[in-house]
Amino acid sequence: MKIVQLNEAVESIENGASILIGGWGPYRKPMSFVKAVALSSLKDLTVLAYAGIDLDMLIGAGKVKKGIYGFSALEGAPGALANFKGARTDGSVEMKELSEYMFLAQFKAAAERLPFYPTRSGLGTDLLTVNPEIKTIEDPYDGQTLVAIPAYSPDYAVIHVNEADEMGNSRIIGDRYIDVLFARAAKKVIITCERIVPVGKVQDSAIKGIWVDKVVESPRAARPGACYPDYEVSEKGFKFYNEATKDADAFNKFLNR
Amino acid sequence: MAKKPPTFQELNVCEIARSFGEDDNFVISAASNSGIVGAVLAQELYAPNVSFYMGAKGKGAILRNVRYPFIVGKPPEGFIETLMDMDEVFDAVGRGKWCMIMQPVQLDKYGYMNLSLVGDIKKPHRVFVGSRGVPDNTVNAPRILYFVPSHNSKVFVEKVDFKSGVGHGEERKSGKVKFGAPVKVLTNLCIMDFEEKTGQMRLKSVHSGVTVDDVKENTGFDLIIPDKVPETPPPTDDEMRYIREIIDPTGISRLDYLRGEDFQKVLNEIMGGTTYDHVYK
Repeated sequence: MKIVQLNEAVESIENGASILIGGWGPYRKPMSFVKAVALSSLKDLTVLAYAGIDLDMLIGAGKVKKGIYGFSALEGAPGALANFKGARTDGSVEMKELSEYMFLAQFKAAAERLPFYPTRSGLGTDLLTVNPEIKTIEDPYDGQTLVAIPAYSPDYAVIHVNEADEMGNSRIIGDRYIDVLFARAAKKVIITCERIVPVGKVQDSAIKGIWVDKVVESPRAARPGACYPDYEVSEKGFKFYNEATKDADAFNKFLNR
Repeated sequence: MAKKPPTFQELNVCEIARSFGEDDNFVISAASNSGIVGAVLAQELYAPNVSFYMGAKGKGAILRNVRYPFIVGKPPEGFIETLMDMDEVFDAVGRGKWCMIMQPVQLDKYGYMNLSLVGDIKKPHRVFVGSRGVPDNTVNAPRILYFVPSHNSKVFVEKVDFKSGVGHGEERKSGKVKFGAPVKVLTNLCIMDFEEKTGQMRLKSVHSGVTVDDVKENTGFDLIIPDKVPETPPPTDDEMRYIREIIDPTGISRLDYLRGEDFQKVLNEIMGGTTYDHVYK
C-alpha cells in the first residue's frame, strides 16, 4: 500500500535530504507538500526545481542549504520571488544555476545509472565558470569537446499529478514537463494527486507505479499555481504570496495562517 | 484614405519574417509579440513549413493561421495544429529544430547574451530568471534572433556580466560550437547583424527617421559601421496587408515597446477591439 497522509510523507524525509520538485514555474507544483516542509522541523535541504514559488518558499522558511535550478520564474504570474533573489544576491544560500537542458541532463544520466550525460549545452558560457565541477570531455570518435553533466540522483522527487491509483500509476492531463524523467532519476518518489482513483483507471499513465513509493491525495495542491484542467493560475494567490515575501514577519504569518 | 506609413514596429515584424524561408522546417518560439507576429507573417508569406509555439490547453501548442488579438496562452481552438509536451521541446532543441527569438538583459559586441545577472558572477547585485534555455539554444538552434525593444547602452555593453548565450567568439571560430549562432539583432532604432570575419556586431540598416549617430550614442561598444548604412527596407504591399488586415489588425506588436500606463492604455484599446481603422488611420 503506497497511500499515505501528507504529514506521513513529509515525516519520511530526513534532514539534509535532496528533494527534486516536479512541475514548471507556476504549473503543477506540489505546493501542499512544499508548504508542509516549510512548516516542518526539517533543515539543510538541497532543493532542485524548474523553480517557481516552491524554491522561494523553502528559502524563506530557512529550509534550504543549496538550491539547484534550471530557472526561477513565474512565467507571467505576478510576483518578484524575493526570497530567491535575496538569497542569490546576499549569498546566504548556496545556489547552482544550470541551463534548462543541463538541469535535465543530470537526471538523464541518473535515470540510466550512467556517471554523466554528454551535451553541447554549457559550452562557451559562464555556467561552466561558476560550476567548475562540471567538466568537459573529448568525444573519443572525432575529438570534439562536449560537456559531461554529472549524474544527480536526488533522495526524493515530489510530483503533483491529476490522478493516481494506489500503486502510484499517475495520469498527467496537461504538460508532463520533465516529471517522467524526474521520477526515474530519484531514489524515492512521492506523488501528490488531485484524486485517487481505482487501480485500472489509469491505464494511460505518464508515470508507472514501479517508479513510485508513496501516494498522497491532496486536492488543489498546486495552488496558487495551475493544475490543468482542474484549475488555472490564481493571480490573486500569487499576489498574496508576493505581499507576504516583503518582510520576515509577514512571511511567518503567511506560513502559519 | 491615405494609409499611415509603416511604423518601426512593423519594420521589425517584417525583418523577423524575412529571416525565414522555404527550406525551414522547425519551430519558432518567440518571447515577444513582435516575434510572434513576425513568425506568423513568415508562415504566411515566406516559410510555409515553419511552426510556431505557444502555451495552450495546459501544454504547449504548435499554431497555424493565427489571427490577433487573443489572450496569451489561450489561442482559439482553430489555431491549434497540435499539442506538444515540454520533454519533446528539449528533443527539438537538441536536434536543431527549435529557433528562438529572445530578449536579452545584456548583449555584447560579439553577440554574447546575458539573461542571468548583473554584477559579479559569484556575488551579483541583481539577478533575473537564470540563463534558462539560452545556453541550450545558442549551441543548437538553426539560428537565433535577438530583439531589443529599447536600444540603449545598458543592454548593448562592451562585455556581458554573465555569458548565458554563446556569441561569435573563439569557441565558434574553432568549430567547438557549430550551431545556434545569433544572426540578427532588431531594435526600436535599427537592424544589426554580425560581420563574418571578426564576429562583431554590425549596423545593417537604420529605421526611418533614425540616424547612425542615434544608434552609436545608444550603444555601449563600437559597432561596425559600413560606409553606407541604408534605411530599413519598408514593408511590401503584401506584408503590409497581412500585418494590418489579417494577422495583427489591433497592432499588438506595439506592446513590446511600452511600459506602465502607456502599455495599459494600448492593451485596453486592443482588448476593447480597436482595429485597423483606429490604429493606422
